[in-house]
Amino acid sequence: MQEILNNLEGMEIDEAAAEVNDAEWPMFMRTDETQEFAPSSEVQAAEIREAFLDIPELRYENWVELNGEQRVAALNELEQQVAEIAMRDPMDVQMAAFEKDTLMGTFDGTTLRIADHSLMDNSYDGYTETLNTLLHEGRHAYQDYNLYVERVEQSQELVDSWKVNNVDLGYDNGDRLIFKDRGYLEYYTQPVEVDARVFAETVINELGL
Amino acid sequence: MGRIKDIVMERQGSPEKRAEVIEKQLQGISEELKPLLQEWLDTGKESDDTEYSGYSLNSLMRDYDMMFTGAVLTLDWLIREPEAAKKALKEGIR
Repeated sequence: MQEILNNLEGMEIDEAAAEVNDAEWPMFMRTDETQEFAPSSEVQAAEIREAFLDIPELRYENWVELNGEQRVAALNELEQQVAEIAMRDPMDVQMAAFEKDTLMGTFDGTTLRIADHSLMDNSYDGYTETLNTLLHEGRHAYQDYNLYVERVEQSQELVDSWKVNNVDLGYDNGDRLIFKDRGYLEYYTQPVEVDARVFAETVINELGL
Repeated sequence: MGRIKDIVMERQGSPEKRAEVIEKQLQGISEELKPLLQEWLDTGKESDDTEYSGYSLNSLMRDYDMMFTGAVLTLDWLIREPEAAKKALKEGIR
């Protein structure tokens, strides 16, 4: 690496860029045009719809007949598919008994947790809220993957906004500190939250729910 | 200037830089919330049932686990943009 940098000194930018062997740079800095990116959100939504239709347990009329363990299993199956479509690592999906009913779900880096009060709610609203939460938290997993593992998101601008949000400003997903002392507007309008909401809504609309 | 920051750091444990931002935010809140803030600064009181679009300081601190400043700033949002704020709060935290 140092030899490359030494050789680049004094060269014009375009000339220098041509000298760089992409494979020697960290993944985030490569300009390899053959890099594979995840599909756009709209294409992901269409593919998730196909995956959803292949899991009969997730259809509402079947969902209401399942117990908690079976529902979690079905959500894990969908998560595996969503992760594959988004080109990220799959997360473990669990049901959680949160202290407050206003907390719908969390992502802590390895686990997607869905509130029991919506997951076990047999109403249609409870069912759609559960799926919305799974997709929302899964999108946080996608953001995380792009920031800390490998960039697979097509839009560099979008990834940059997540970096500013999570890395530079230090959004603490676990304790929700930004939310507790800076108020709900600050939490709600964070780039990572807006992106996760929009993505989940895109998929929910594609599912026709 | 600085007094709010110090109190926020002391009572809520907010890091200094965040407390500076919170101080700036609180200095711009709606007039009707300023007595509530002033009382908190003077006495530390963190209780009030006055509702704004169905939410109060008490309900936000209780149901959303907000600290005082988070709750006041949220009330400010409810005053300025009631429909947007209500919708966001109703969606819950994810």
